[in-house]
Amino acid sequence: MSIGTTASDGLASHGSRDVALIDLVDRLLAGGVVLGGDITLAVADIDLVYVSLRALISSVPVTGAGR
Amino acid sequence: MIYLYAITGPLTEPPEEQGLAGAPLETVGVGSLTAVYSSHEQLELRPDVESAWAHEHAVEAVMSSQTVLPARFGTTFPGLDELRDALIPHADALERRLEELEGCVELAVRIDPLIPIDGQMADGRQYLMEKLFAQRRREALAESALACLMEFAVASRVAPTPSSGETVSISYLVQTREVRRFSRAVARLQTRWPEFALSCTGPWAPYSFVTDEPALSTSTEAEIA
Repeated sequence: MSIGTTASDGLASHGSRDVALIDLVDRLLAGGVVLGGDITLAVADIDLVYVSLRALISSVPVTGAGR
Repeated sequence: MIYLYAITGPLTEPPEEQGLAGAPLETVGVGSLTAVYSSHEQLELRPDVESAWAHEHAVEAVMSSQTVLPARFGTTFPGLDELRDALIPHADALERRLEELEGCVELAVRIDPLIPIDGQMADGRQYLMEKLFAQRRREALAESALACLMEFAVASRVAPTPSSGETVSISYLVQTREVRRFSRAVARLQTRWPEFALSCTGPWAPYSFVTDEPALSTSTEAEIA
């Protein structure tokens, strides 16, 4: 299987790179395989990521994110 | 310390991509699975933008040639033995999932209300009514989007993710050959619903589909049973 485009290329993206970052962080922190290793991020760290992301989201002109 | 990026099928050589802190990617085979990781004397993992993209780039490097199961961000092991020990009990489920996900990618759809509700509104009742109305419209759109986009998708999951707030966020598992048609369908939805901003990012590795839990799961735990 060969995939020509990827999320970081943003070729299939209708959103800005900031929107892609928010989508990525959602997936990194809530998705993915958990094997029972150590998840080194404390809950406080995760909250911190979202606080800084919210600041980012509010600075993104959402109207531009539609296309 | 071992930092795990992804699990994949047989892989002869590590992808030529850097992982966290610029460390080279390495691979270890466990049965027919391959774990993609990087080794670190010391790794102070910070949940910042650079680390997030470093993890993603490592995953994408594998994804460019084969089906991949991305690992949860921040998964570490003291050493290779511990990684192997953790992998072996899940090996069958992971192999099965890799087969099921072959040829598929994840697309992220986000629905944002364009007109924020005015918090300064004098009338509390009016504010609540507006908020309720906006919520209903958003739910109607989400339902319509779910139904219409499923035509091009294999599976979907609505994620009540911590970043969402007023946003509806839906993950779709889409066959690679359907990505363009899916993307065009999102554009059509946007035309039909101008009061919302729709975004569609990807293709991502199937972060939201690493287990075969039923769609619309409200669980944020992705632990392989």
